Amino acid sequence: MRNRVDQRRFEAWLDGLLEGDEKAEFELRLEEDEELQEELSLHRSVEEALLRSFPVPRSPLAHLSAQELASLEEPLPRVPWRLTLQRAAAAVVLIAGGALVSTLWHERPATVHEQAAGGRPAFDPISAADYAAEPAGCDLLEPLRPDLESLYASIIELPVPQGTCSDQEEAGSDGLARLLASRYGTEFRLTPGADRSLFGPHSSEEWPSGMVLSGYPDGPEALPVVLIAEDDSYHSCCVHAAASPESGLQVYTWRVGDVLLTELSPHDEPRFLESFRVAP
Amino acid sequence: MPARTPEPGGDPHERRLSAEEFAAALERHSRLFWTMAAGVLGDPSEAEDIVQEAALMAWRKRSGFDPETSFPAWMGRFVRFVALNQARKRSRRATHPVDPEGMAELVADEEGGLEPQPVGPKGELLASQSAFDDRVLAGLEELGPVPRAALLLRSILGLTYREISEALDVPEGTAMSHVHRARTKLRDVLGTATGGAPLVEKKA
Repeated sequence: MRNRVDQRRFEAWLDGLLEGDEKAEFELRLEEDEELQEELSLHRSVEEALLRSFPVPRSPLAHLSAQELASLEEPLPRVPWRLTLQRAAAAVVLIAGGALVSTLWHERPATVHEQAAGGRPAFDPISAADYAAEPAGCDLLEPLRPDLESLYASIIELPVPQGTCSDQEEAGSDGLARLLASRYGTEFRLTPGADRSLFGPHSSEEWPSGMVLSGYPDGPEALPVVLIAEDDSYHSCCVHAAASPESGLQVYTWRVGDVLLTELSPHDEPRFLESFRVAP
Repeated sequence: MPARTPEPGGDPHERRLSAEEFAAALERHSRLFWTMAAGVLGDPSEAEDIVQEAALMAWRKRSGFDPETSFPAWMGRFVRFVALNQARKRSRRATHPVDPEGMAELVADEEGGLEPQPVGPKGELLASQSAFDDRVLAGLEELGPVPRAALLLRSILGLTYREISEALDVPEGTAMSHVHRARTKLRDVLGTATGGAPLVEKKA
């Protein structure tokens, strides 16, 4: 194919998106242009190869019947009174423990950002106003909002271009910093002593944005997600939508240079954003 | 976000799909889910198991489905989740890929010579169909899971870009872009595999 415009037009024709004169003009050219005919031949051969290689069964889930699904309904177990008492006692202990931790927590020294902001956190937790501003994004993950596992799945499947790592477990912190530097032309460094392991990056060519997933050594339930975007793009909509009040997650944002960092976290304060600084 | 009008009787999320409704919706879109799973994995052999596992997971979490929204979009997330997990498990135990050409030569040597190549009506040498399919599959492996799934949904099921975007939960323009780049990638791979010469025979 001679150029990208030709390729786009060729595909638009294949997809039935050309109409009227444009379509007639293209079809006339197709009759005369050998290169275009070869292209069409190759395209058809590829489609046939795909059909041969991926023979879709007529009814892949025919054996999963409604009766079988219904049989998976689990009746609620009866709870013995002794267990009920034990649970009540455990709840009292937890509440008392939580109150103690909360007291100690509020006596902790202010973070660097809190100090910079005069004792007030420099991060804005998400509010209802965030949803109002991004209606499309809010709809994206709504059905699975409270489900961290599904949220994670929705995020990791975002397109990963060639050249960046395709598995979030492959890249270390240094690789992430290097990628950010090359992508944004801004030098980043990680806070010395940060004990987080950074996984990522995930990014897309469509949007000039990237995403970092982070795991903590203390368990899979801590699932902060850092979103890096140059503007309010699709990705940030996703994350905002996921962090609804029902989800129990918080969104913290922070601008570093021209880049907006967003952390989605189950914790009461951002734990990840401090890992990033614009180098002095 | 505009507030939804609550249905009579409370939150629409509270109206769960019955087993019959769920099974019917699954059946109606099962080919889509199968193709999506095969696309994410890049391999059809486990697609049926993936879809079944995803269906059971979705059934257990069906309280999260709003019947006013799209079932394929909702269920598609489970399919992709299970398929991506499986793909990651595979990549962890992956070994070095074997070059199909090298294998063919190895087998040919062991059997005492190369297989005769298929010849066309005018005596021209035709590219072997299975070798072509292998190269298409090798090209597919170079695509990401979502672009690969988008390509298969377009090429095999003939879904519109709107349907693909809904199934894969991406904007329509992105679905289009995935398919475009996947096609370009395949064309590049197939072009370089023959040193730029067309790999397929011309059709009359």
